[in-house]
Amino acid sequence: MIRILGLMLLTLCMCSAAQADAPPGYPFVSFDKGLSEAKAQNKKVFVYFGRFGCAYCDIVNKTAFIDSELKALYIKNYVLVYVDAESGKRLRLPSGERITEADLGPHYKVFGTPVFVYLEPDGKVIGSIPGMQTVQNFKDYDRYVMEGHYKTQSLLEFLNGAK
Amino acid sequence: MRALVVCTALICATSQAAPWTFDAPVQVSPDSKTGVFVHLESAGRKNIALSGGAIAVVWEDNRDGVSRCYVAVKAPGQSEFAASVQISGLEEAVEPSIVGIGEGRFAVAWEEAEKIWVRAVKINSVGKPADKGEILLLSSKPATQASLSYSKQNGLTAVWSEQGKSFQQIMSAKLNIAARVQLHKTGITVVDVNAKGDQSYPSVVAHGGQTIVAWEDRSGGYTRLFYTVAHIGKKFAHPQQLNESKWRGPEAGLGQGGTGVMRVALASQGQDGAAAVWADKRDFQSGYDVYGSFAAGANLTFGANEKVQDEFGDNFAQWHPAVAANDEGRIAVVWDDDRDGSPDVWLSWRNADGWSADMAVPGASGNGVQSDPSVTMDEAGNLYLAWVEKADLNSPSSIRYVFGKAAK
Repeated sequence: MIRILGLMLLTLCMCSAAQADAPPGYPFVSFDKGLSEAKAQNKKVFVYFGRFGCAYCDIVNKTAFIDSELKALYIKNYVLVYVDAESGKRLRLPSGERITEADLGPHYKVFGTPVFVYLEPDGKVIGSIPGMQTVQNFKDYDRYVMEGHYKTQSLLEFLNGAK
Repeated sequence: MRALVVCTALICATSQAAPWTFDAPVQVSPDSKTGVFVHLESAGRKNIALSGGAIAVVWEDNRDGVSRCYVAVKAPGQSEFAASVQISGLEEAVEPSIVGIGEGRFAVAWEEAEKIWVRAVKINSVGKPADKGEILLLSSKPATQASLSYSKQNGLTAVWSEQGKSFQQIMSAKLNIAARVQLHKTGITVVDVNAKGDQSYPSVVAHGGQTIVAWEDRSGGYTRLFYTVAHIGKKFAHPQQLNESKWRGPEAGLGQGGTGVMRVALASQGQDGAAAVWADKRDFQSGYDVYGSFAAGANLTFGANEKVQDEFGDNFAQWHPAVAANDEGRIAVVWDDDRDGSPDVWLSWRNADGWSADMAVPGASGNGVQSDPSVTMDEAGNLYLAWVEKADLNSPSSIRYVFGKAAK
């Protein structure tokens, strides 16, 4: 009985620990596969820089990415890429260089998690959004990117104008 | 007020003379070429080593279209590195780690075809390999991230991360050296038999009859650094946590978690001590900082964590920390950050007042990108530093080296 209770307690502890992988149910792929797909499909890229044990990522997963409307919108509009910012998993940059997921940090100046980066189909950076975000935030960023406002306005100008 | 602070800091910095005088840098790898990318990376960041007065650097590049590991050596009395030679086998190979094993000999371990391999090489008077040992397979399952250590007392040790039944686990092997350059594995052990999560990026150091291994551990749902110590002929002790956890998430309703730590590197330091450095994001607003800790005492227990870089570096992310030290207790920590507008190699050392003000290494700073440093130190306290240099983050790259003469 004590052993069973112990196992239950351990399970509860594990459940409360932040693993923070990519949110479930989304077709997230690796960085190089995503860029390759984006180029082939002429689709923009949404890169989610997360980290194993990132509690803030866990919250975004559970409060924003759980939204079915947001899920449908982002699956329709983007090739979805997930990067574990501390991982040694290897990938290839558009330049042909082979690096690890962790070394994407210096390349894209991503030093916290979560960070969400929007890319053109050719990999050029459109914009980078750090920190925890809401469903509405992600919908606003989607409009900024997909309607092309980023070509003429900063994100702040766009968001202020939208109010 | 801010100007006063800056002025005071400048005065402090200039009054704190660097304990090294740096020569002009020299080229290690072939000149950069379009489409060729070099990588100076390994678990523990051990890509430069000394042996019998020779200096060897190992790296990976794709000069023939496939990633392979190469070594280049600057022989005693030579001013340049000899042309590099391939050290890995026929398949794609990455992340080579090197250590000097005396008498102009070096041991190199690397990952190739998802396995860990090792070989020894003897260098001649002009920096060419006079004798290369057979390549020895170390891992039995998919494996990655090898690192090596050597001391006369402890011999040659290799560590790596290998796929276990449920998790990636840190493995260790003792290697005998026969016929000058022929390696034989004498014992392979699981470092932490109670692993409960993936373990990766091990670093190893042997000193004073003890072997210390440190690594990244993903048990518990977030990453921590652990270390363990083994006395000669004994098993590794129960692992201890190296990084201090500053996570206050539960108080803010965020649940368990960690703020992020990665890439621990070890060096033996003093007569019977060791130093560890790593990238640590406990101050999460400005990315990773360089943190360190010192181990001393009969059981080599690591003490309180110390932030290595100075306050001017606090607002920038630090990457790729590496450490070198010697028996007299001198220590140097290097890393790269872009506080001056582009990535440079920065250096800090320990003095009576604690960690020094940061110093941009002459020749490894300035225009373009200077990053991914690896460093070692001799018994006189001289520094030997190699790094990756390129025009910008997406340019072809090459490896440069600089010698830092220790002040007496």
